[in-house]
Amino acid sequence: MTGWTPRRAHFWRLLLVPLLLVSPVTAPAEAQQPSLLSRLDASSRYQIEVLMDSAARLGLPPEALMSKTLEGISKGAPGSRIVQVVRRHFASLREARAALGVDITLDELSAAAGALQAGVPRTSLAALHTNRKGSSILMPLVVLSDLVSRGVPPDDASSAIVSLTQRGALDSDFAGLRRGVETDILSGASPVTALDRRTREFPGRGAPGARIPVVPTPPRQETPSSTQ
Amino acid sequence: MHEDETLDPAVATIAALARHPATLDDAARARVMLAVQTEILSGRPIRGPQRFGWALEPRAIRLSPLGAMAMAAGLVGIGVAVGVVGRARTFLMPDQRPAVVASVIPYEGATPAGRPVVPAGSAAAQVKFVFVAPQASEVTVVGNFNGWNPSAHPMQRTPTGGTWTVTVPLEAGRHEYSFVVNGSHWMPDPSAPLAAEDGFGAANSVLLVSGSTS
Repeated sequence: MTGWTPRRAHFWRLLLVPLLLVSPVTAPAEAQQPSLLSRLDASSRYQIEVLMDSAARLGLPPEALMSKTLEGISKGAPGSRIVQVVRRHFASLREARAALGVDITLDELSAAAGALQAGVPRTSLAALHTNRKGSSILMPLVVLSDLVSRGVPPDDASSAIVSLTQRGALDSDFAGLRRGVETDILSGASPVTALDRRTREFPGRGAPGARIPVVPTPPRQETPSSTQ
Repeated sequence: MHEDETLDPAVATIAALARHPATLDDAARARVMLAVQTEILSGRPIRGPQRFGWALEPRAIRLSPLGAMAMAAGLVGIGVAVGVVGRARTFLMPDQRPAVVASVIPYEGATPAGRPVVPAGSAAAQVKFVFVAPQASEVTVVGNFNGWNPSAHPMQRTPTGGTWTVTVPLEAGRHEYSFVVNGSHWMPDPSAPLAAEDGFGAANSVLLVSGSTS
């Protein structure tokens, strides 16, 4: 009926050649990022990309660095500050990996990096991991960072958490500890005193059913966040 | 009785003419038969001329080595582009670990403000964020689960007043988040654990979503 005429060959050339030219450069990674990323200046963006590439080569999660970058952009931080924070986060991830090894989850790694940035000694992370062998260290790490953020010195908080893991504390015990310390601090106790009291109240997991006493939470106090 | 006797004379005349077979000349008959035989041999239904029929006909395509390489490069390029798109999407949701989530590990903040609530017995991590800000005109929740995008999850004011809520599907794992009030004020959740200092001068909160609680 019809043949492979020069006209039709020209038609296919017109269709395929632009496709071949465009496809290898279609959609670079940056183009797929949220519009937030476009707010970052070129120099900072390049440095972030280098850090992400380095993280990937070391087996660290580059998406954690991207998340930190987006957080900084969203919070309005300047590019130089974002690069500084991301670089520090990268270093913390690397140090956490060195302290805990590869037998941890991404969440544990991120939480450990946060604890290191809060001032928790690297040796405490290793001790935590050793004591909780076979169990997740995510909850102890979260509570550890929370205690430091509330004013407990990193060394004191680390010692208390490591001590509790040695005594067989469960995730629910750590959650109870955090609530108790927060309650005491809101009641006027110093962070160190609150932690010391709550830690001493923990009887250890040797006694079946033993738990950290849960103190009823007082009526909610007005905070800046609730009075907007 | 013959049926033509009941017909109108004009109709009867037309019917009588129609009963006689049409006579064709031999040339016309030969043309019709040839066309029928051709269609039968080709196995195609008898159709009229098609505008895009050429596209359905099988044909041998001859490609030069350079053309073949260009076509292969194009296909590889398409694959790379698709892969890049898929990889880039992970940046939006940093924690891609698949998990069946049954509940949030509760941090039991007894305060109503800022407490993430998981419906009891829910098999999905539909986390409801609650924040009390009576005088706020706009509240959003931002975190690593939405790429820290303030416009991703705007909270809705409840009909009763100053409580703002939004339900967000979350995967199992550790999530950092914060509330943004009136588009500029970043505030941690007053009833959740605090994350380590974020480096930007605004504290974040931590939420653990897990398939089981201990």
